[in-house]
Amino acid sequence: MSERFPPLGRILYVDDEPDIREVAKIALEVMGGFTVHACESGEMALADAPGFNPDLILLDVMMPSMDGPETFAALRQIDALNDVPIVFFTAKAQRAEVQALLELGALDVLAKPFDPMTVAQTVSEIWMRHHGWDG
Amino acid sequence: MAGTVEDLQRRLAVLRDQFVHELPQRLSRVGALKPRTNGPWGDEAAADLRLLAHSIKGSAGTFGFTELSARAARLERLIAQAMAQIATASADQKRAIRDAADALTNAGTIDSSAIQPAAPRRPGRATKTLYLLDEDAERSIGLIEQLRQYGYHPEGFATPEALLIAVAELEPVVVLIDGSGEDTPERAIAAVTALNADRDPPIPTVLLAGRGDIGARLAAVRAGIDIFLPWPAETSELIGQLDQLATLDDHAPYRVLVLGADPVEANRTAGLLEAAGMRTRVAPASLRILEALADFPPDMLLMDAALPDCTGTELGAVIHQFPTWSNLPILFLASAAEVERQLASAHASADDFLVKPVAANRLRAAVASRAERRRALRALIAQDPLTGLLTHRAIDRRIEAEIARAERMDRPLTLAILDIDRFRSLNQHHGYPVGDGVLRSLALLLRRRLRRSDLIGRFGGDRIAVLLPETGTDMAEELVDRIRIAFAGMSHGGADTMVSASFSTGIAASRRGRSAAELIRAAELTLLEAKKHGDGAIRVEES
Repeated sequence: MSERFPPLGRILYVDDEPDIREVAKIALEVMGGFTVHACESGEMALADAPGFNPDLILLDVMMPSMDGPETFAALRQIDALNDVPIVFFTAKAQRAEVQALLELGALDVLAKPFDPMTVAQTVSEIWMRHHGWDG
Repeated sequence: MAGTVEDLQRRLAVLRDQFVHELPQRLSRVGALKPRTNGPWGDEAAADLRLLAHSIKGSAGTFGFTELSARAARLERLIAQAMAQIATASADQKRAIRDAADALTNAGTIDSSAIQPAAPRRPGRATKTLYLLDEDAERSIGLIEQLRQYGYHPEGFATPEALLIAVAELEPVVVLIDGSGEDTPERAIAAVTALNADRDPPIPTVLLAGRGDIGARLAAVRAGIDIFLPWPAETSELIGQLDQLATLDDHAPYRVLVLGADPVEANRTAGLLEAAGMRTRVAPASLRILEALADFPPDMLLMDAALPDCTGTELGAVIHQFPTWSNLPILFLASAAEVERQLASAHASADDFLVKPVAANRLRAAVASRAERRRALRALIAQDPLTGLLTHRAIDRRIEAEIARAERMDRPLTLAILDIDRFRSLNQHHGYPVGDGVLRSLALLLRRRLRRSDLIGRFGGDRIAVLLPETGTDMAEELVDRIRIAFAGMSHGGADTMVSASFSTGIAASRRGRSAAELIRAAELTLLEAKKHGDGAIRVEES
């Protein structure tokens, strides 16, 4: 959106739910112009992330085998990725849960279901705030 | 791989259809996994069902199937609670889970609305449907009658329960609550709270209050009541407020044309506004903006200040040169440096710029407030484009207000309705431009001859209403007669056709207890009598 911030280009999106994964990918690509790589599990995210080299990772909290926080911890073990900001998506979004996720070191926590029209903008704003924007 | 808002909507629609298509299969799996009346319910089945419910909740929510999503959420929550206890689920818990599973699988058959996707953004509200909650049957009937005259479709309810049932079936554009029977509007406020609990967006509410003190107002504000009117209020005041609420929540969403240097960014901006319930169009290129405006007449234009071919403020100045768009609000998106540059050189104010990057909610608010202002202005100006007189609707409102004033001050007020004689044949024989010219001349003459405090409005066609405050019928008749003579001496038309014209007039006076509609009707009936007497006749209603 502006020259003042490093551009957000590549997003890794992790969600076990195929419908939502597809909606998120399309919404982020169409409305945001981002390059999105979608993964259906934490395991797949760990395998694909280093090669994809994302600017930002979006992570669903509740997934069947490796859940969001587990995936988060494992991603942080990968040297090439340990400073890539990670944003959680969660359906619960209760204050205590959000707090716990932020304490893990998440950049932000977004509520599900998200609005496909605005999710790209929301993600952009989180990215810009991460880089010092006070809007 | 960026596309347009329509692109996204189309692709989402495909996914949604797919979801609906596959839903029966998923629901039958819910049925298979739910606990049976007799027999064990294994941990594995519980875990699978929980995951399935979670997945349906998420997908349904994403596609706007709110009821389905809520039912799935309930099932998921119950299973999670049961699984949290180390022992297996109790019989009661299993029964509750089974019921929730059934509610979910039946979502499609029991209640067809459960599976209907939520309306895009705003629930479908019937245009001008108004619900009135009033325990006082007599006042209710009176209000309903008045509201009808202003084009509302009012429906009265005596109890909050009856109101809630009706709202569940069809949401009105506004709910009017008569709390004037109460010293403190407690019951009215409780009704509003019940009405709008969990409703997003809330239904606009107007409270007619028995007291207008700050305590009552505060209580109303806290309850989320939009308009607080101490009763009795002037009808014009009430209608004005209702109109505003009804338009704010209009079925016609704000129309915003977006012009950006970067198509991806322009589309994203448009998407944000669409998500807020506005209609948008992305203009293809700055030099084709006039075509875009004609294609999609907007309430406001949102554009980048830095464009490839010229600056935004330059383009804005060009647009404002066209009479149709001379009042179009324009908001510029610009970097801080660009704002400085263009402020220095152009006729723009800082207020016209939003500094990029702008937060979504600020953008929406800035756009909505400008679009709203344009709409409000258009309604306020309320000028008939042909004659420059007030429009029918505008003069109607003023008549209402003037009647109230005349009654309050105990002063005379007279309404005259003028109708051009043989207007149709004038148009047929000499063409519409001549007919229009006659109408314009009469309008001009009236404006010259009447006082500034007199109100002149076009009642449609060839009919003009003149409202004369502080004037009795005798004086009104004299005044109209002088105008009649002056008008008869004028000729209209162009070089080759010169025609003369006349008008007939019906005059009626305001009386205590007479509504605006009644006064207008009286003047119109008197006009009919005048017409029977032939061209140029003036008749005064007998008192």
